[in-house]
Amino acid sequence: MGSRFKYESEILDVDEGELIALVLEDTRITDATLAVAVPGEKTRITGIRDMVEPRFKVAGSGQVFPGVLGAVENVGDGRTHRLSGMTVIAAAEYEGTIRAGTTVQRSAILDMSGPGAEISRFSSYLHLVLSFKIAPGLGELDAHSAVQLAEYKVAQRLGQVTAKLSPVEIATYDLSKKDPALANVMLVQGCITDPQHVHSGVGYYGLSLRNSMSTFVHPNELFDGAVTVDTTRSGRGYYPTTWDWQNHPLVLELYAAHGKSLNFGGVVLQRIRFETSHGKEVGAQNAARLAKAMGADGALVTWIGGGNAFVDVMLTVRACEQNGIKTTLVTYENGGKEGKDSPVLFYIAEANAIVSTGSLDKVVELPAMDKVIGPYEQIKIFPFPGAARVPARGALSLEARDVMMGGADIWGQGEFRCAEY
Amino acid sequence: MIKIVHVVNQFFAGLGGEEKAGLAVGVIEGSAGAARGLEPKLGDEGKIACTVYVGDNYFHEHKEEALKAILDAVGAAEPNVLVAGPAFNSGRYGLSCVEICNAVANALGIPCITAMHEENPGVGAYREFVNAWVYCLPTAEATTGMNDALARLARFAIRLARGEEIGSAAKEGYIGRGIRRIEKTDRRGATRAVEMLLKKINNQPFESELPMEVWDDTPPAPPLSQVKDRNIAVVTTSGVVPWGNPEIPTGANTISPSSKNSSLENGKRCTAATTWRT
Repeated sequence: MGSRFKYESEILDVDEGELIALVLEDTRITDATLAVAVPGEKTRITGIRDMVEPRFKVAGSGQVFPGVLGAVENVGDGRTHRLSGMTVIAAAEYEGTIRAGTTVQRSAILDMSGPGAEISRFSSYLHLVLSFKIAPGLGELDAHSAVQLAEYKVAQRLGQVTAKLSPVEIATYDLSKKDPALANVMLVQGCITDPQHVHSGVGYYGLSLRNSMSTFVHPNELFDGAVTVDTTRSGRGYYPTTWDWQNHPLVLELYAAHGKSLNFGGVVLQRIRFETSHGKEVGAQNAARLAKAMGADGALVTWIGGGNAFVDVMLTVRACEQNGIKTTLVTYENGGKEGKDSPVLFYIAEANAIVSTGSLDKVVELPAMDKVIGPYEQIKIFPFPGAARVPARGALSLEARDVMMGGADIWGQGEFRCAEY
Repeated sequence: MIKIVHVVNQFFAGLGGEEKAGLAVGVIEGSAGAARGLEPKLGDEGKIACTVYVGDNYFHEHKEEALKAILDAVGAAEPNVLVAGPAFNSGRYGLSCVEICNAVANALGIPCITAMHEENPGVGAYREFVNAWVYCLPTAEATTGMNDALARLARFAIRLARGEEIGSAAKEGYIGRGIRRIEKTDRRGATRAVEMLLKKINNQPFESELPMEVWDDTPPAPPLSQVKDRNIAVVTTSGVVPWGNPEIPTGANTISPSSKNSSLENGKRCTAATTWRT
């Protein structure tokens, strides 16, 4: 960090003053600071609201995060530069106005070394941590918008540093070249949304997905930030971060196999957690019909969510199989601290191919750290008002992995799974 | 030197067949009967402190007394590990092996290992106990598999006694107990997912990482012809709490773990005189 922007020999210089000024353009934000977190350090980051990879569009229509940073324009074509070894983390102090339920604001922590670092897929990256406070009294949507704009503007500014440079490595993602001899495989991405909340949890070109039916998304749209998150509750538990959408491991893996062992047919973005059995059936069958109309022979099915949203996921697996689309489900498990409870809460016979990505319920003991980055010196393990605060620097005994950013591996980014003992 | 207590039925203790199935619990110093092949398999690393036997019928007809006598005998011997069986496809014997292991593990904190054929009814009980301190190895259906079963029991017993980490059921070869634990694999989940799907699409064999339990649908009972003056019990898993949910801390999320329904856990009835809600 210094007083200029420059990228050379894998070293990024950033102008700290300019980035802080960029963030403080928003009068909803105060006390902004920047810090760097390095893998292996005894550092704990607190108050994490979201994480984003710096990207910048140098060719093609639109800009990254259409509908959020700029107009609603088509993205997914042309060339996008990325700084792949680092991220921008937004860490913000915010109390929220919603007092209970699934939409209550919450923040996550991340350890850069020790057992917490072994668990999280995010501890191996270099993070530029943007830490700030949000003006008191702001509602959730305003707070979200302040956090999101701040982190996206900073990330885009960093990406812009590479605008005139030639990339070290170029990857081409093109769905149009298909091998007719290979099976057509789609990703069916279920998303829990809270339609009662001002931000449903999943933004599509900046617009909240609510009770909508499934829609088709080109995977390149995800790379350019067409799908975003609610930053007052992302990164915690099963909620993905913006980084996860930009680097969706199942999308990347399907692309890696594209034209070699399968044809990647794109993404079905499906709203899940309908309130009624009727809604769940309609949503599930609608997703399967869309995949079938797109010519899918097979589908990876995965989800964001917990609780009864899993019923929607399982009904989707069934509906796909009934439509002749062979499925593999990718899911985390629960199962309780000792792994003796039911690992998932709904079973159907058709779900005969499941990849497990580990369990959210396991106890974790985190040692004390030397350094804390972020707005909170004291943190709440549980998000509800009145929950006890504990020193952020000290050893933490966690009943579950919710509070750790990346504590749940939702989409198979990591190498963990559960096995039967 | 690892100390082992070996639990067997009357037959494997060498005391007789079906006509002796009523034998009460007894203790023989060292190893005994047809199961005495276990000790040589331990090599220099362990010895059988004593053999505890119980008749197949006696155990099931006098379970409380039998378990008490077995716990006393095992407790007195202070073994590092308990071995029960192998029971092969003998149903009563398999069940008693599993129940004895479960009781000893719970009461005395001693790791236990048994062995039987996968279709032995004892395996069903073993899966239901879900006891992290009890392991069951699969065996052949009949005693022709004795030598192999004793060798594997001995190896497993030594590892348990040494406190070695025991891996997953698939890796170690014991019968799974339905306990799900995290392990690290050599490939990330996304890679495994594409591989599994391709195998499924191409009709090649694949193994799901989370086996499905398949439940039967239970049709609702036909309606009562007359509702008036009938006594009706409502059985529900909907998590009922007393009206107003007084047990929950103020301001807590309604799905807080503290909302566990203690009234039901204590076995009390939710009588109609109280108002309940979900």
